[in-house]
Amino acid sequence: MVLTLLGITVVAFLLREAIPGDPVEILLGKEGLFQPSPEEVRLFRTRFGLDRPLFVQYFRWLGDVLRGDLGRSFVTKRPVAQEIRERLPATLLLALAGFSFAVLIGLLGGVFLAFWSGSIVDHLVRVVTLLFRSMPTFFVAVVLITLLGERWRVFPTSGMGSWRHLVLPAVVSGSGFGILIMRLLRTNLLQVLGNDYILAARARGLSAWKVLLKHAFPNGFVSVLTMFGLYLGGILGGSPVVETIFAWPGAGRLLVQAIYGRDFPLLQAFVLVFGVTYVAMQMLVDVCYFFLNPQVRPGKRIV
Amino acid sequence: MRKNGLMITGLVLLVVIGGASLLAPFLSPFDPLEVRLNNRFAPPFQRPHLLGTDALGRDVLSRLLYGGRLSLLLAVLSTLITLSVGMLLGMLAGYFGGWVDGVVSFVVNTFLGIPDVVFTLALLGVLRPGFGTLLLALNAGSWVGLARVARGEVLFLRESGFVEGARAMGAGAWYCLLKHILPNLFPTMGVLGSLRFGGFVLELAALSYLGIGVQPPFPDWAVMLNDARPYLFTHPHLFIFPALIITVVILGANCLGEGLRDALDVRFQRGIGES
Repeated sequence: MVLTLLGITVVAFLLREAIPGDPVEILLGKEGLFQPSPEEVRLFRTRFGLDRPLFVQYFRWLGDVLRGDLGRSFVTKRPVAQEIRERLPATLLLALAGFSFAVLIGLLGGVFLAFWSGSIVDHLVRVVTLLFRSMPTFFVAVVLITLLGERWRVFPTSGMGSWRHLVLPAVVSGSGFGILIMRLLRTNLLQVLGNDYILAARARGLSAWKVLLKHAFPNGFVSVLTMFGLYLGGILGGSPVVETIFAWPGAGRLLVQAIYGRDFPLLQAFVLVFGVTYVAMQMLVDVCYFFLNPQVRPGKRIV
Repeated sequence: MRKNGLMITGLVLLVVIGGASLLAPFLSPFDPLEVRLNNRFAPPFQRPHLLGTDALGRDVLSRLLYGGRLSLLLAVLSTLITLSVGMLLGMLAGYFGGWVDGVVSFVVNTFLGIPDVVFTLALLGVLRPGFGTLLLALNAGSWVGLARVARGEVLFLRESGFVEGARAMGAGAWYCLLKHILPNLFPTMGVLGSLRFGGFVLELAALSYLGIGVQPPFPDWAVMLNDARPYLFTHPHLFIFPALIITVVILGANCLGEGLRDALDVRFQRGIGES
């Protein structure tokens, strides 16, 4: 884990080395407005230690990072850490809303589909979800915006404000994951339902629903939990497409803006911050998994 | 049989669209870039513009035919690169173990730790825009998942009877890897590869839609979608056709992938997740 975190810092650091051209000249030159003199460039280099070997630079940079200094944005000149921090509440809100929506349709859908597996509804849902998964997010978003937002004016189409602003982006960003949970849960439940203890429960005269919810669900649910963590960790970086389309002031939109503005420090910080968050989330999931599923505790590996 | 049906549907969809894109210069009735302002918004299903014309009077059918060339080429190349890199590293790590495995696992874990979208976008922002950058950015995070799966498979295959037998008869490591292990990776990699291909098309479309993928005026499906947004109500055909064709391509890839998975029973054999 520590190694992975270190690896992420190396990747983020090396991203700077990948910038085409001399970053110092870009920084001083302001998009080619004026050419910095060689003297200026040299001075800048020694001042910021850019003339030292790469690994020395890396450790200096790492020291800054550990002190919470991620550099300043090229565009706004403000500390990058602050820029990202300001965007986090909006992204978190959207992530949670999308996540809740996904869990809602995923769990309900998964249980219902398992209950009615093999029926026409099951097949129909399979076809519809396959189609849905094949549509680009922005396509779904644009259709929803034009129908619900512009034609019938049910929901606002952009920005952040009341809960009604939240509905469309949450639905769009959560639906794909919801479908994934739905299918995974259905498969798991069907597998679990083949076990002997289910047969035993049924033989005791429990109703089919009770067997499904009380006996099968806890077992089918555990592996879905892993997906939760991966998704939440990933979406904390914001969903750039959704946020851009709905003009949602979150981190994902900031990322896209950073690309347009070629804001290197901001891009670097993104890789670093969200890489670390992602790894932290994975660790958290592992811990939860450990408590919820006795099978993965040391000594017993599930096959 | 139904499973094979799924696979064949997917294959047919992909071959038809891929073939049409490949043969675009011969099939398209008009020049996709030719602007004719006196012929804007021609309605679809009429001669000579079978799918109508767009806001600049360009023929939609021709643009659709050309519109997939770059995306599909990028997606195919990316899939090949991702598969080769993932398989190679996975095979090395799984077969040789020891420090090789240590190094590969370290790299894989590192890249797994960075959310794919963030990494792709960051690379696109840092590097000069272009074909190579797009290729690199798409592949940067996608090979690691494959490498991990391949490593797991190889760990399993290495201990199986036929590989041990080959080793006992004096076969070298590379012989075992190429002759005995590689062919056994193909089913899994075929499934993951076709799903990955759909993913690449999806990602590229999103990027182009945001204006950081394929650049206009080159006709591209996602770019056409973006151009069509102001006319969604007045001229829906401008939006519907490219949306439909992107969906069909990804649908084809998904069908192929899932059909393969069902037909080869990959998932239940060695526990590969849904995604």
